[in-house]
Amino acid sequence: MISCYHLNIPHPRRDGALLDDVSFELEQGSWADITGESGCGKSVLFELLSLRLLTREGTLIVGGRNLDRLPRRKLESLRRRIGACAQKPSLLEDRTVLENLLLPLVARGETRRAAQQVEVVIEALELGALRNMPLEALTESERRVVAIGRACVGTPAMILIDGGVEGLDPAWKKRARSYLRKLHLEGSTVILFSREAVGPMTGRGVELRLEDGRVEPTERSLHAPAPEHIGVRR
Amino acid sequence: MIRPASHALRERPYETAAVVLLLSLALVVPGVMLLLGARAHAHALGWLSAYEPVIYLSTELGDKRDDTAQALRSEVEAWSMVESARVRAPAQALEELRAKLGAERVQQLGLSEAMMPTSVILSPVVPLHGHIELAANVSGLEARDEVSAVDVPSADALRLMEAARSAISVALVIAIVMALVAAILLAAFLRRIRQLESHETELLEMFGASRGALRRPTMLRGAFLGVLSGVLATTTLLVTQLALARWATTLTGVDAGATWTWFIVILPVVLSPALGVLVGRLVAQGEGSRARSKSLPGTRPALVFGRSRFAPAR
Repeated sequence: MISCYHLNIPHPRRDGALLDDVSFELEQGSWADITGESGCGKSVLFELLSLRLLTREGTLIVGGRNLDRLPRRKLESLRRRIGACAQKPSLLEDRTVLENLLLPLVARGETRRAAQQVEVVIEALELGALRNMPLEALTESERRVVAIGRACVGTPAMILIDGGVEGLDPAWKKRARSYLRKLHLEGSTVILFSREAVGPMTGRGVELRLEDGRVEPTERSLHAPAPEHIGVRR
Repeated sequence: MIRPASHALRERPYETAAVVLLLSLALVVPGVMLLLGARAHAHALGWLSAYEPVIYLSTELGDKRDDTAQALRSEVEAWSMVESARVRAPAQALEELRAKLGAERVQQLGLSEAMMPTSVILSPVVPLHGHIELAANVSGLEARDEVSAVDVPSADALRLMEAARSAISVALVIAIVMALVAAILLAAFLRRIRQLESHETELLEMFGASRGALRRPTMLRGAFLGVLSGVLATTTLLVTQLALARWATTLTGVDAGATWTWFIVILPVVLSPALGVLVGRLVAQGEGSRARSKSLPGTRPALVFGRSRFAPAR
């Protein structure tokens, strides 16, 4: 699903790099926890993998497509297979939860069964009571759950959550984690960018630890229980 | 967009109505001027082609009236630009007047055969509007004692044609200026709506919406405003056209036809939506190009409408 080779991104304001020769591979259907302290480069990696940025140095292959040579139209079509939630998610404040959840399906042109697909997410995350509330009326934790739900709507092939499920109220955290694990079992590739690993329900997960822009091998990633799903290049 | 493209217009009914009115005004003003010019030109042309120069003999000629008329007929018939000439007796003149105005009206006016002059009517070789020399010669006859008046419609008609041509030229210039003003106004309105929903556009792009899909709502709004203003302008021009056709025929006595002027009436309903779509596309494209230029060092921007959180502020 994802292959990165020698990704290098300089820091815009100080010496050093946001990403320093980062290489790794993740296969379709895998679960990955990309962990690291604040400022280690998780968010920029999230932006690259969610196709919001394209790298100039290094090679990034997503869904079998080399992004270096991908025309814009193909990039759009690849983006339709990805559900992403940023650390500070951008939501439509004056719109309802329902409208925010519909957004990815509108973007993908999947408006026929949109209501049903949104209902699945609402049910799984127990957002029924908030369905018709505008986003500006929700708490931080509720807003983040809506953003995670938005990333999951339509069961995309790859789900990227920057910030993971950290900072959520315990009840929301449990529901979000369990829904992400369910989607992983259904075949979606789930990548969480957080300080600590969450891990999948089964033993098919992997942890990649980022330190100062470099991928450091961890016990879990080097001895991943399902080696066909992961490879770390050093 | 999550909501239909027309939703943003429905949310701003007064602004939408003002834009539609101003757009239709920009179409109606030059349209009416063009119609007036075109109609006047067509009628002047019809007038020149339909009318023949007439020389009215003095009623004071008495018994010599018929002989003088025949002599004058022979004289003018010898002119190279005259195909034929005929003498119209007073009785015949009254009959023609009755046919034109109706017997009742002639009777009301108290007109009789004795009041009608003897006249010589010329048939030019080619339509009169090509014969300035003939018009000049006929006008010169007015200086003779036996001639009381001449009717050469060409002079007035030529003046009318010239005025109509000028009016058409001015209307075309005004049409271009007003189309530009209308396009700028429409672009400003569409850009304002687009800026208000730029956040939604960015999010849709992040989830894979195509550039065409992101541009479509603005283009649809442009088309919608164009259709509304086009229909309004065409309706106004239709009423003007019907009124002009009626008045012009009554005034000149010539049914000029001028079928092609219907093109001016229909034009707004075709041109206005096309202008709306074009302006909408340019607005959407402009927004995209502005967003494209900046990114984090070592990276390239992947989004056209949105931007990465690592991109420098715009």
